[in-house]
Amino acid sequence: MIDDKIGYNSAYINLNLIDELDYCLGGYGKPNVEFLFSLNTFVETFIASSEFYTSLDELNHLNLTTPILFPNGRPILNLIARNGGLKFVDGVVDKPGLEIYRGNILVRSKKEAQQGFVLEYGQKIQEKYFIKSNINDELKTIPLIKSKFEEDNFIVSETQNSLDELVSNLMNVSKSSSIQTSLPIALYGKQMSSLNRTPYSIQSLDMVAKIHNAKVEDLKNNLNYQYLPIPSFTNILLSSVTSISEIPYKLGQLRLDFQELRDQFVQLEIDIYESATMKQQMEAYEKFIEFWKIFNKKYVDPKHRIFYGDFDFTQNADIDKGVDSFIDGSSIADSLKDVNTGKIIGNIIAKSYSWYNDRKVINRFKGITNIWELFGNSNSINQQLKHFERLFNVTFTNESISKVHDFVSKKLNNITKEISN
Amino acid sequence: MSFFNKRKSSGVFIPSGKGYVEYIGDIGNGSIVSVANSLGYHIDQLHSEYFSNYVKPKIYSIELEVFTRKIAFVITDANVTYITEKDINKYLKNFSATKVFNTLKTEDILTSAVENGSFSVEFLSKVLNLKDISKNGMFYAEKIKTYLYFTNGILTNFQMDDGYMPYSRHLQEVNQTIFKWISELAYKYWPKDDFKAKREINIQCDAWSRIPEAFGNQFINLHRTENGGANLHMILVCHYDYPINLSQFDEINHGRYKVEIEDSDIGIKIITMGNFRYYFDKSDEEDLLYFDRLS
Repeated sequence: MIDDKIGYNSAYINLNLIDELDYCLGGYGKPNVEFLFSLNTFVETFIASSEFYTSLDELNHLNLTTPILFPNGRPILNLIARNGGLKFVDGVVDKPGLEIYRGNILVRSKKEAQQGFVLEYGQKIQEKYFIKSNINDELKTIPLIKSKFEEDNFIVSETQNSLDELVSNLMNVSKSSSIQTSLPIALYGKQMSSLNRTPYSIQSLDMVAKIHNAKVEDLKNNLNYQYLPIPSFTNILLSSVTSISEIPYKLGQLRLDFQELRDQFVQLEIDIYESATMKQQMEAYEKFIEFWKIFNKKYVDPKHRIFYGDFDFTQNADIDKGVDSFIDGSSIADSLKDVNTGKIIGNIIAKSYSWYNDRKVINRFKGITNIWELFGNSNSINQQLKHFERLFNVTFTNESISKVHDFVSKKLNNITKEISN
Repeated sequence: MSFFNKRKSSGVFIPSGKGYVEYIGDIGNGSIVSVANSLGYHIDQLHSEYFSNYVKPKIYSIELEVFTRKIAFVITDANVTYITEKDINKYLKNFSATKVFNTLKTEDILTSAVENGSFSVEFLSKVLNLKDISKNGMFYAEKIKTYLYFTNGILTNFQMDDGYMPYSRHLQEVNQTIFKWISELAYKYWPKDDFKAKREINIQCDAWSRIPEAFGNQFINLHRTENGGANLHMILVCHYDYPINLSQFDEINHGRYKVEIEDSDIGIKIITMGNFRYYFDKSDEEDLLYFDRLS
């Protein structure tokens, strides 16, 4: 039986980011300074994650736009497909579209109908649907097209998705999984604010701590941003190739070299899921961190991945409602009356208590590329700039690099202050 | 026993254990499509091997699951009441899955499947040995070197995309010598650019499929390349009126031509290569205006 459950150690990769990578690494055009970020976030994700996802509507968009945007092939999309495939989840983009094309299929095959659209819309596809990251031209919405066959017609419609919608839907879809996200720079700030909005009241943490016989401080330490050392993948990659066309192959090799890294991430998630208590979940994480520090010692100048830790109380369980009663001095059984038990495991309070007491508060981690470190470490950025000059024959001015740095700082309100080292 | 009382079979046999048994279920109107449907197959999922060249064949056709040697069912004469593995081996002795399911055939099979929505993710994961795939997504099938797209569990698109177009892959399969000549030169002159090298290979392989008599073409010796091959696309340009502009010319001849006159008074760029001199318009389009043979 084939199912679509999001696997352990997965990553969501935004299609616009893949487009940008195929454009620059597929020989279609030169990178801009923002591409430094795009490449770094993708390389980290590709090597460290076991499975890759994008949204179902992005698949449809990809089918319609690829023949025009990438007529000579897509090295990065293909690389992902060869390394476990690019899977699609529903719900990231989910809204009705505005019809932009209608073609008759009475005397044409489905393929011919699709080609008809591509021929008629070729230029518009180039202009409208290839979005190269550019901090000077701030995006408000991202357009996606999708198609359907309805009676005798092939219909293409367009949706305009605000960046907020895209990111908050993504966070919602990935709520019950630990997931790395690889987004274009324009979506990065939105992702940060979306993560920061995760509502955990101190009361709910207090309740979980009491049920699980854990300390609130320990729970709090598992929330918010944390650093995790990782090898400097992009520098390793770029220093080992002599031309851009070697990058996809070498990237595939690097991924194979770091199988142990991915296995450890997967094991962490299994350990957390299988831990009988909250305390054991936190111990599993600490054990993983210890292993990780030793594993990374062999790499000179390691970089850091950011993990955003949160708890998965399962969707819509309304735990805070239960917490309010609990704080009011009710018994655990009474407090659980207000919890939406139907969405938990059944409607018997005792069973719900057993469920909480069992293990179902899961430590989840959202992996995020550490952009501050990239632009804040002059040695690291200088190395990459030299590689870019050698491979892409492009140079970036200090001013343009500073602009990206400023953009990041302004948008993200200096996240480094919030990170617990 | 009278000859006329001889038992007849349904004429359909299916694999069972190490042998074959007569299929006695409903076969509708008895057509291959009807039998396929009753056995749970869409007709697109099967490849038919017919044996009409046999005199009075015992087996009319063997239906195999596409991309495999796995037999779905066998159609025989109604007088046949049993068949053996030995019979099957005899009829399939010349069958090669690699040769039958070549690039062009694979493209045909997948095109029909997308059109008819006839390949489920379960079916393809079985015949192509795909692991860890899901109902929605894009996956690579190593066996047919193709990227497959599934939506809601059905194949909805595919791309034979390793940078080679169908005719390049086909030539690679059927004539490795010519393919090697073409690719050797492409990589020699685009040493650090895999994409442009493949673009040149694709153009030359496409030309191979278009020129009359392929490598037996009468003009082949006028366009010999340094490694013993031939510049097939330039045969189309010089002898079959195919248009070309300067950037297209460079795509397939990069590093192999000499610019004689860059900027003449009459706005023409003159290039020599091999036995010919080419005159390109210096305007925006830079089209080839004419050419002549070097004496």
